[in-house]
Amino acid sequence: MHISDEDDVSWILTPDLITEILSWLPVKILGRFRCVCKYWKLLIFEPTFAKLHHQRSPKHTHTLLTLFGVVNDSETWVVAPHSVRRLLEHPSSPIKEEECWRFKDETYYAIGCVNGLVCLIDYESQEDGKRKICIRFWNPTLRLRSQKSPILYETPSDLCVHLGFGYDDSGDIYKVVTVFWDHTEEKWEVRVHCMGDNCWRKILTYPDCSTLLGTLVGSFLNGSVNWLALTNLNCPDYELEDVIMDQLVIFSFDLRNETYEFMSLPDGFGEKPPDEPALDVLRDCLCLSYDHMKTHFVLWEMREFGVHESWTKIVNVSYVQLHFFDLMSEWLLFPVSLSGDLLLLAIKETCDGVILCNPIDGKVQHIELPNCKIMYAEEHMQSLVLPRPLPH
Amino acid sequence: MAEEVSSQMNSLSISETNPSSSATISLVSGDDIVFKVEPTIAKEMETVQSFIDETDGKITTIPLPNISSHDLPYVIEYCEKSIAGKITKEFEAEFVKKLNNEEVKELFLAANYLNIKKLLDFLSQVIADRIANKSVEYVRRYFGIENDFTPEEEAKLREELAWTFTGVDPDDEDEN
Repeated sequence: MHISDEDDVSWILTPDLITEILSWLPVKILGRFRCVCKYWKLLIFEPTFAKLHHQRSPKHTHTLLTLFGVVNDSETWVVAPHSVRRLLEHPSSPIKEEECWRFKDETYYAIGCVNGLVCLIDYESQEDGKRKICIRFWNPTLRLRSQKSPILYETPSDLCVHLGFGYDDSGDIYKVVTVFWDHTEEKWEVRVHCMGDNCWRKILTYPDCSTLLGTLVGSFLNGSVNWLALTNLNCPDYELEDVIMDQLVIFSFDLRNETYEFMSLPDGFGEKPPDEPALDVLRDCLCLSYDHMKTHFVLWEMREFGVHESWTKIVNVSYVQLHFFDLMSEWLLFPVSLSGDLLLLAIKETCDGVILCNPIDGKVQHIELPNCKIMYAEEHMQSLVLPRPLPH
Repeated sequence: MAEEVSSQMNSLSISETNPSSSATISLVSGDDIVFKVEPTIAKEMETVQSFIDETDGKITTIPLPNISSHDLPYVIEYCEKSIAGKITKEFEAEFVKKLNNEEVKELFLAANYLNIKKLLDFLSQVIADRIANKSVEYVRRYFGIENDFTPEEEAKLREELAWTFTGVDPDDEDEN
């Protein structure tokens, strides 16, 4: 029935068609297929191929957890990607050494993950009480780690350095941005490091009477890194109880143009929460979550980035409903992932487990994660993006 | 309207059906079998449509030397479902169930030749799924690729990537 089997040569595919097929495969399998031939070996790590593959890959499948847990029989702080589905179906699967980043002495933490690439901060304490700060990039799916970035700053160990990690689509550049208060100049300073470069560029200083809130790590979305901030202050030091609601805003740094702007919080955000609200990115939306009156967990979603009117309250659930009675003086719940109607919450540092809740029908399920105290969570996916510079 | 096209297409067969209809397009397979299709179907095949456009619609018989009479009905079936907006997961699953790996290859090339984006996308996913758990050797054979690594280079690369070699199916279950 076939035209002919005369020549199998007709089935030698053009590079376009090979790309077309391979772009649908998971990262691990592509890793294996790098052994097929020299062309495939190069193709699979090409930035343009990684981009196409990224477009075709399922998003938000994973969460990157910073946690205190057991790896190879020893307790340690690690950053480890988890498949959300697997986390719910097999909560007691152990964390594998080769899949996580183990912290030596609490000197690392994850700044963020973008397109499957994780950015970690590396503090190196020195004898004179100062710290050297540099950055490393890591693709956990490919199990590849970059070399250390150039040193950002030698700081006194009490200085707050806000950091954010993001991606500038227009130039295909991964950027780390840092914001800190320069005591001598009495100004805020913003510096940017592009992955693979050998420097930190000083972008701007501004004497604005504003400050970023205590959360050091910014949230990346839509080409910008976002932090909660306070405006109209007399000095960068503040007490949350002295702040009025109107002062609370989002500081949004645009990675492409390297400029910043402020965005306002939802109007219905009436009562000032006793503890700092949290800013996260869930299912590609900026989310604001906080404790309301020590009785409810509230979560707002900015459905369209930068559009104030699009703030929508999507979760307002009581602790009674969550079967969560472990309220200490500090507010502890934070979101891990949001998919469909299901919200996954973790309880900061104190509890070996997560809470799965459906805000629509009110169903709540506690899932035990043995030996796993979660500190931070961030949405993650698998990708072929290479961390740079790679060690040789 | 969509239903109508669909039912007409189900009765579609070799050249003798409705030969006088001027609206239909005749597609001639590599082994000289004529398939009459509605112009809407031809529109799905960019290669065919641009041929028709180039001749201002005067020529309605189009030779497709690279496509066999075995493959063409599958292509037509897919286009017909696509026009009717009936490409569902269930349809796609049924559609590929009938095809062995060699037939998928041929259809993939046909979709590429005819420039049917949706079918090409779909078949590239099918091929990806079918090779996902296969060994490197199987993949080389399947794509007719010559191994251009030296044994040393390959051994070194395999060692580096050893963790990606779990969950590979044994080769002997090839269906070709």
